[in-house]
Amino acid sequence: MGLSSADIEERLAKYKVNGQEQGHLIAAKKTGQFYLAYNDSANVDVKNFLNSLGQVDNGVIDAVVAQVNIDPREFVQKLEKDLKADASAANNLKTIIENNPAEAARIIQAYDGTNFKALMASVKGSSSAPATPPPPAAAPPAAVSPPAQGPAGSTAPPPSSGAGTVPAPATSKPHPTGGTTTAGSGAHATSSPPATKAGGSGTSSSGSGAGSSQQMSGLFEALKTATNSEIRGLFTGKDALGKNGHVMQFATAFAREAVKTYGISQADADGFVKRIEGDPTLQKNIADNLANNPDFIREMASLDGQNIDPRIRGLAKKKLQELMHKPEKLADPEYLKKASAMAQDAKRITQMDDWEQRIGQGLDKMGLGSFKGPLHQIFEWLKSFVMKISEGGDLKSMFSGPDGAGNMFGNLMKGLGLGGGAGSQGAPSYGGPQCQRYDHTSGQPYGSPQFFGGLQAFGHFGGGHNRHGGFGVGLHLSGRI
Amino acid sequence: MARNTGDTAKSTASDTKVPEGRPIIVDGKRYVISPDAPVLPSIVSGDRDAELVVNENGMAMVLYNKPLPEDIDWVEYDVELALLTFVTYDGKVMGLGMKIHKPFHEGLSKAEEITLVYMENGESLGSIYPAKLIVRKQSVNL
Repeated sequence: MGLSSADIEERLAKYKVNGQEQGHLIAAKKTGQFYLAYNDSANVDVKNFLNSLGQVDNGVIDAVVAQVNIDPREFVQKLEKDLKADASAANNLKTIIENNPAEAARIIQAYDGTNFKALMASVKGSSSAPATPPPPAAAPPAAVSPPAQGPAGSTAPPPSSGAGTVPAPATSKPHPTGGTTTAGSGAHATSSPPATKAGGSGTSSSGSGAGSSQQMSGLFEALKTATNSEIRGLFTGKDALGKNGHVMQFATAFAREAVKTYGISQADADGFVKRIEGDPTLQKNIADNLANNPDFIREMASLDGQNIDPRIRGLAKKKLQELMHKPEKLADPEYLKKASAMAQDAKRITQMDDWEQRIGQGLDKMGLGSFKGPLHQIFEWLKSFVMKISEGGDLKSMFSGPDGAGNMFGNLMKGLGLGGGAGSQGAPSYGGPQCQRYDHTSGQPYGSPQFFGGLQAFGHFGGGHNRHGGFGVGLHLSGRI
Repeated sequence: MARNTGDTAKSTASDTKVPEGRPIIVDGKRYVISPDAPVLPSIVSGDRDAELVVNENGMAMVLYNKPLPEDIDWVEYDVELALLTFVTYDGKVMGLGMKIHKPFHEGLSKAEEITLVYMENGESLGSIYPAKLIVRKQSVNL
């Protein structure tokens, strides 16, 4: 494959079963290449298939890596079975990957081991799979089509969803979940508002084999554009509560997305769902809170985890992880408001490609209107954290290379507009009054603590410095933010 | 008890120590490293360097110049072993690749979080992540 070690560090998924390494997937985004090493000779088709791909779009790589990270064994074995069942499937899928990577990524994301045929059939111009790649504007596959099943708690039978069911027309919009498949009558306007809205087309089927994943994707699709009253109706209606109520549908979809797009562990996601399912009081409190916070619902439904800026992805994942451990947060109005604001900021951040430069110029210069939510607080926190850590006494550092090399902390300070850069005689400058560097092998200090040009570094913040170049965090923050 | 490790610079997966300890529960989350946790190469390995910055008030930061193979869930500081161990969301572990020498003990022992900062090629901010820091003091008297 010609992959260098530098390439493969970008994406790596390994896994073991009973202590034995079953294989590993290497996907190098720099070169767009895959390499799947798999010890199980029973699953050679998937290995050969992935390894035979040429340069692959990063979206497809992300989709495969996400699937492999959820449960590699499951993914490999199920895909193996599907590829064996349809000899032409591998070629068709390969064609889609090469010619319509967005569609391919969507298919891979939605693949749950039971819906391969339906997903392939959903591609425009295909009976079982396209002979030619679909145009970029092809309709969403069945995977993101409306759920095939009626609303939770409803007794309505699932739509005609047996194998061979005609998928949604290429021009149809996904219709919602939670509602009956014959939505459009408005009959369920109270309990299933999104269905009323998105299902207005009257499209009655959503592809064969529609399972829970499709249902959940459909739910999120519908909620993206649901109105306030629709959302309120959804979480206050008679179908809001209960094992299959709308709260549980939302919680399950939310947990699934957390696993799929952020790599939250399945165990944590399951614990989150079970906790809500087993506590009727909590469920009711969450329903009330969700009903009153439609912005949160829409933001969560539309936040694209696959495309979120990697610089804040870790933070978003951490927030999700915390929520998985403490679902009570969903019943806290303040939490939902903060989470909504954070999601909005995350989208703005993702659309900006120069935010660190903007931060470097000072948040004030970005315009206070740009970020007022929690992400603004994060930048503020990072900046003040760096200032505090450098200002605090007895600052110590240790770099893995030789003395004089490596000045990442100084560069970070510089990037944040806090000085940094090289100090006198090539010594690293941290902008604070002093820092003692240590040799990482012996643990011995290098010479004397370095004194740096903090005066100059912080001059542009408007003064407040002393002879050591120290400064008051409060001075800057209160003066600017 | 620990597997060997020599968490020294440029170490590899096979020689990374993995501290083992009793679960520590914080805010409802259970922090414990599985005894058979897969071990990834240390942060300081290959052409990836790292810098540890700590102050006496318990503020700590680890900066590195190449992306990590997996997202970090939390970090453990084992005082006795003088090790920082990074635990991924999948339960895999990776060492820092540098011994935590005594001058860093006091500040790091006070820390509750350690901010992980990826600096692209060591120069520009790539990502930030404040990770929970679990300090295992065991029988060590500082």
